[in-house]
Amino acid sequence: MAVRRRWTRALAGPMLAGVLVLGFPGLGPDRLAAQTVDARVRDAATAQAAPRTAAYPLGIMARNTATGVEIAGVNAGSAAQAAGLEQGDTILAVGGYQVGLVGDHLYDVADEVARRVGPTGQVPLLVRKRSGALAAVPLQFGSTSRAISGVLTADSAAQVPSTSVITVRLLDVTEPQWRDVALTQGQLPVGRGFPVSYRLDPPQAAPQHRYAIDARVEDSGRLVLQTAAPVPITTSDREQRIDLPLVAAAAPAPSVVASVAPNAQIQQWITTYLGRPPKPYETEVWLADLQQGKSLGNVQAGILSSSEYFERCRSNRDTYVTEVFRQLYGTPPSPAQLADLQARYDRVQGVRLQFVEQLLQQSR
Amino acid sequence: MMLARLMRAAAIVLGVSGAAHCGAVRAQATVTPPVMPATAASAPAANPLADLVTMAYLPQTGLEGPVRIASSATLQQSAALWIQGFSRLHPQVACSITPANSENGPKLVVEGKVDMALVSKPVDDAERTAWERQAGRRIAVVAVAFDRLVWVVNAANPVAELPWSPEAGILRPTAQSGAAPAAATHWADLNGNPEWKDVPIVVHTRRLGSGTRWHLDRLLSGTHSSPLKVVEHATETELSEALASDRGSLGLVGDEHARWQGVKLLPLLIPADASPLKDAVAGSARTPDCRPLFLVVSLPKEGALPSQLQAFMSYVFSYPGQLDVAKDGLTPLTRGEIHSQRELLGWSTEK
Repeated sequence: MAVRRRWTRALAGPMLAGVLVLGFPGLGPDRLAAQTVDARVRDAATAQAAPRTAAYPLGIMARNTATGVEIAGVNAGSAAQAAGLEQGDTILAVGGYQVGLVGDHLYDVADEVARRVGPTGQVPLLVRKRSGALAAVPLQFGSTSRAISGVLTADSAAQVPSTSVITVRLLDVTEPQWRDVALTQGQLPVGRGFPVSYRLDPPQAAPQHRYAIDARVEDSGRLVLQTAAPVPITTSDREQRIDLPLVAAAAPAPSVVASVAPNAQIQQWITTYLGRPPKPYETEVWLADLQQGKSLGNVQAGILSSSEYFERCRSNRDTYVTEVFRQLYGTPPSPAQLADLQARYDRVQGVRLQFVEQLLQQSR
Repeated sequence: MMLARLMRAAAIVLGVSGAAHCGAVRAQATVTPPVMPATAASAPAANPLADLVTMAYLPQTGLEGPVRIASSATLQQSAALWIQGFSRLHPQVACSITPANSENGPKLVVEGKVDMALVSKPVDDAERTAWERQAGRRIAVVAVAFDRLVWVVNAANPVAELPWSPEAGILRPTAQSGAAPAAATHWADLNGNPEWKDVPIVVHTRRLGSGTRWHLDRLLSGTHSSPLKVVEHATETELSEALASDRGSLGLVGDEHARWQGVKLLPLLIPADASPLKDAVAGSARTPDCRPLFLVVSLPKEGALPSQLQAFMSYVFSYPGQLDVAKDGLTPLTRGEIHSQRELLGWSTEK
């Protein structure tokens, strides 16, 4: 197995004298991790947080290779530009540690920068310039932050189990249908209760996009508290403080699943439809789907149209449409209904998800 | 490439330590005793999506136009879920799925009838080059998910492990007769027990699509054709019963079925000098029991893909897109694998 090379500091050391103060470039999805500043929650959050890459954007377009991270572009005003990095250069190491593809692992340059950056915001890079020369390049991050922070508060009468989890999200709300497009989000435990401090390090705003921030508190998949509505934010290059009051979550609209917590409902569907208990993480996957803005109806359709359910129906169209109908209506279809189901199934060319979603819409 | 390095380092034990999901880094550098399924199952499974939670999909405004997909049966549900999620964000983009098997899907791409095809078997370079010539465009083949399949046998079978090589699969006899070994056909050839000399090896599987069949043959007999009888079962229940009742059964099943009553999971052993896998995925060191599933797309010789197609593929490689893969029981890519696939497409990643 390939061994990650620890580059010696002998080359980089003498060349680290210069200190550069750099601007803020754009951010990629790798660095959308959130972080908390509240000391009370920091430890718990650390266990699940991704590296604090959002705070240290390099401002490059990068391609990982087995010989380092090739720079395909450099953002204007970025830390990388100020350090003199150019398109065609290759970053070999960050703080002495090799980056890019090493053996069967990817050592992400942004993660490595976040890990190795010193208390003064400086981190040394080893770079092969496009001319072929090796160079030690000190990268310096400025003290400016675009972080959004504040305090989450809740009505003292609110009953919030200590096992609940708070999720704070920065949403892109540019288009009306983008209801749950989270650019970045952070999770922290409720622990001893409110108020709770939060902090998000947002990616750079896209031109002409609109943003808002919201928060929700969930206990085992059950929504307990939430912000009354997403709070619009102005894009800014400065830190912003936005306090978020949380209110009791509205009762869900009456439906067949109104009285059941989402996770219990999902487990019940898996058990009923697939004839087995949920596999590890299976329920989490569907709950994450709800967090992405989909409905329980979407989840039900997803399970009923799964490859596994289709196989349980002998991978046979007629058996499948009959069983789906039976699950939704409690009775087998009449001959006329079966013919209708077959026609519907054929109309969507056997794309089961579309078939079930249409049936579910009709059954509501 | 990386897998080849792993293989050359030492024999590798596969198929037992990561029973709950596709074992990207499960290969071990030394031969270890086979682990019994119960032991393997008792270890908590790592969440394959934990690595991906920061891979957000950042939508653009104003996207429109078609996204036409041909999909094999294995990936049909993932494709439908991708379309469902993508269309919520981009209602002006008209997405459609055409069912097509792994052979026909790429032809539809080459003919320009669809924009991309989802296939469950790899494409070799000669095939891809021929398509490029025909289409007059660049054809890229990238992995979008994995499907993990494991070997099980009847619980009474004394066989402890299945040595595998890319050339001979698992059917190379253990008996050393001096003559060139023919493919094993009876269990005594593999388990060395003379009491099993009259027990034929019978393969039991789910109903096979063309891609799954390719994978089965590759695992079973490598580059040769298999002499074994293959029995396909319409349901998992029938398959489970057949494996438990047929003394000579050999089953290729989803890893979640390795704990069925009456069967036992077998580790796959890879020799140190095995050559690299033909379908190894760039940037990945998955073991051969992880079947990669691919997306075939034609790219313009110059310039960028239409923005709606590029956005759709970005969605596939995002956290929500890979969440969709996991929802249908497939194994999502890791972040490193996603970076590598993006590079195959000529995309760079912002840092």
